[in-house]
Amino acid sequence: MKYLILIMLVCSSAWGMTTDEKIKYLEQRIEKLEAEKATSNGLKVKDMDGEKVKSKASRALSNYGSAAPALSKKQQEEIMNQIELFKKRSQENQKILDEIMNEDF
Amino acid sequence: MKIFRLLFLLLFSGQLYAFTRGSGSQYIMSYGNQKADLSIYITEVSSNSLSVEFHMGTNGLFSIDLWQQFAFEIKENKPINITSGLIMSKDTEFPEQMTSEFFYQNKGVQVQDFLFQSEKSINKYFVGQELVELPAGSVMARHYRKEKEGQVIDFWIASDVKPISLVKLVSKSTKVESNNYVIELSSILKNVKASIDPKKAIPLTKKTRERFLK
Repeated sequence: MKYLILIMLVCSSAWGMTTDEKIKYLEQRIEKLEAEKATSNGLKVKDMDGEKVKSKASRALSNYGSAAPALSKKQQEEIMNQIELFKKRSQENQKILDEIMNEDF
Repeated sequence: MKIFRLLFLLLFSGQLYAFTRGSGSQYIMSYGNQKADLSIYITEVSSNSLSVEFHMGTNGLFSIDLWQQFAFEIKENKPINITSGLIMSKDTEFPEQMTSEFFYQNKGVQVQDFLFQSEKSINKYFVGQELVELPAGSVMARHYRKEKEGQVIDFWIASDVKPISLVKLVSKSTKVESNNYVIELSSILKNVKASIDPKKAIPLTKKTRERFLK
């Protein structure tokens, strides 16, 4: 389904054009992409488009912060319960491991 | 920090170029087993001044974001003068004004050894013309080597790579561990927005001084 939506989005920009217009549009797209990829000396070019330079980790964090839906109170409680359960199981496992280690043979 | 100061060498090692705001270069810096992204780009240009911003970023759980911005005064037939320097990290709320100690306390090769050096003045360090393979692609470049106080720096300049013509740098030192690193061009940058706003700068805080001036 997501591929279908992607194809529709790509095609929608060329929708309603004549064949000549479509060819011209695609030629311009190719030129733009080639210009972005390489300079005359063949080196890679990154167009920041007016963005600030940040580490990948910071960028991922800020993107996540703006796009992530907020958790509902119920979801938060559920996660906290899971964490508590995990802690309890870890403690139990640790206890078992300690007992095994201290066991006399 | 030492690396930032030394990176002035990247700038303008060849003749002065008509700089475009937002243009620059991004590099991969390798030191020990670590890697960092290093970006250098022009933030302001006028007939007699220039501002350049450096960014260093690492990824992972404890990521680093550090920016430095330097303003230069350019006068015809006169040495380039650093008029101000600002520093900012993701932990600081405002950019802070660097003091002159930041520019000149490095051991080994100094900023002023390279800063705005003309092609003629660095010709004595010329090793040869070489094809250099980089993450950004392959390019023909002039290889230079400079030594000072146990630090040996090999660097490669491709004058057609604008605005910062340095494409590779290898620093080796037997005396100072942190002077062992490699910088390679990963891409040419366009349309970068400055992270540091000089109008928001505050005096250097004690915390920043202690962190960077050991």
